[in-house]
Amino acid sequence: MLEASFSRQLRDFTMNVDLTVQPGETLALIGENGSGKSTTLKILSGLMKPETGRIMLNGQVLCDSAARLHIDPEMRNISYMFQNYALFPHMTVRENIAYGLAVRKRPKEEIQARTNELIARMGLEQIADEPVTRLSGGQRQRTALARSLAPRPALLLLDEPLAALDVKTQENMRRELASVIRAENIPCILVTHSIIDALSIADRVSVIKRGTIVATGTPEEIIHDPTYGFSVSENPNLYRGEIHIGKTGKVCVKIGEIYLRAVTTLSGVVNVEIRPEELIISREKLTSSAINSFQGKITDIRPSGLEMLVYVDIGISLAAALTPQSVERLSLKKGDVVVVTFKATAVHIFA
Amino acid sequence: MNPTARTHALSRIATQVLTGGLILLFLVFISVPLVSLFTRVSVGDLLYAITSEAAINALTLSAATAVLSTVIVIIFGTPLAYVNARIPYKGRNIVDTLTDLPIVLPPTVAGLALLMAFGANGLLGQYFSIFGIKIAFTTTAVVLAQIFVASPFYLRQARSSFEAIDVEYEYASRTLGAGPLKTLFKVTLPLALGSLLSGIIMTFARALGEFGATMMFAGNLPGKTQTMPLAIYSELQSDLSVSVALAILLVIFSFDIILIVKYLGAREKKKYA
Repeated sequence: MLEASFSRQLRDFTMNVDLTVQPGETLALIGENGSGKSTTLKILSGLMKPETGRIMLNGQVLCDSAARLHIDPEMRNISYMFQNYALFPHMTVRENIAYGLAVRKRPKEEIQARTNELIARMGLEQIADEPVTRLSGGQRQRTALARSLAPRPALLLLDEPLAALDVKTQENMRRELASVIRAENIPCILVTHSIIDALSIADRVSVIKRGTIVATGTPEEIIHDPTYGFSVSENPNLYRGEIHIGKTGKVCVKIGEIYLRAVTTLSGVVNVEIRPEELIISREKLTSSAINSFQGKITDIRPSGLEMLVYVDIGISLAAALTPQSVERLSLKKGDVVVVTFKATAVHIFA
Repeated sequence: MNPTARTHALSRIATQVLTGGLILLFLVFISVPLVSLFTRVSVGDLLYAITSEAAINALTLSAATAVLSTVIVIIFGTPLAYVNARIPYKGRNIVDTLTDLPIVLPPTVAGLALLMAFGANGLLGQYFSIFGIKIAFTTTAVVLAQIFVASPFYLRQARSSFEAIDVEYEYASRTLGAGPLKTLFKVTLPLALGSLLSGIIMTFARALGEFGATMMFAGNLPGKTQTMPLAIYSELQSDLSVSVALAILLVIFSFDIILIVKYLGAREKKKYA
């Protein structure tokens, strides 16, 4: 279990972080760029010193400013996976993964066994002896994760683990990351600015703003708390739902009391994202190929960047992004009853 | 063609001729002296000259002192270069300027300064004298002179090699359980190696070519302080063929140095791109 409480003066604000991570738990630290997320990880790992505070991991004091105690990073047994992975470019995949065990002078057989186990788990057998400079983004991510896990750290720190990947690879890696972290049962802090990462990987989410944790809760609580939800998420249309497959094979996702048609191979409880720009708002019901069509009342219209977000209550609250011209042309206003139309493929399902 | 267009075309041709002429003249100016060294003596004379006692003495002394001074520069220079690359501290610019100074300082000034410091009555030399230790006009002085003038080449290159390595590699190594020294030897130095090697070779070449400071501080004693450049100068008065033979050796060596450094630079760029 990690218990940390520390402060440090940054250029624009003072960091005041208080956090705990239970054994085997994954905590997502979510916040905007420059909110102190990475600094938090650096302080926990010992790469940076807090001005005041105390950090305890599994009963061992790692840092205590009052006692002038600061354990060096190499003695903490905390693995840190950097945003750009920082794989050693002069080593192969295997050498990178074995590094943490090799510098600890573990027996050769143990190093080999653990390295091979992780290579197999991550599906890196084909490229195990390639230099890491030749890997794709996903392969780099897997290698970096394997390298962090190899020494069986007491705590795993992940700094934006998916940010360096393209969108398509991100979706696969997100699922893989979640399952690997769960399998290893290592407590983990995940820093991200994406609510989707937090939703799929974390057990708990903490929102950090200007160096202070302003809220902590389950992913669902955080997303749907209007105070924080909007500040951490670009997309207001995020839900938890359950997949239902009809007798004729129609795939639906049930959110609250509403059934949306979707396309997915997943089952059970899933996360659902509907992008506001994929929604069509009309006065009358449209005849079109889009299969999802719902009537609802406009609850709010507010500007978001160059567009307007029109919130429609169809049993769940859906936000549609429209140009200001469209809002004017349809003379939309609060309280109007409109029709929202979108394709089954606009309902993005992820684990 | 209208008159304006014609003037334009003419002026373009004139520019091309002028540029080409300047380039050609410059290349001729650089290569003719080098070529004339090679045309001066026959191969037989060359082999004879190179095996003369004076030449062999100068060669071995040069090789030994240049290797020694390069090794010393690496040992003392690497920590300084690393600290200056990684740790911002007050006065870092002053330290940088100071260590760069020997590059622009005339070698004779460097030699005179060394003499004032380490000569028998020098600032430090007077204390060495008490214990009967003589530095000026010995082989030690040759090495000191070489270190003084050649060290900036290594320090500059080493500092920029370390700066080019993302500090996150070192962070990653530390969090994976390696202490600072292990990190240095397993991560930082291997990554910097190619680039450091360029610096080492340039330093060695500069030490090998050292003349002015050696002359002032170490003198020109055959077998003791007379390195190749000094022998070239001395033999000019007695046996021109020995002089030319040694000069040819240095030209060939310098040419190789440039090729190696260029090759290392290109390889480094490719390796981690």
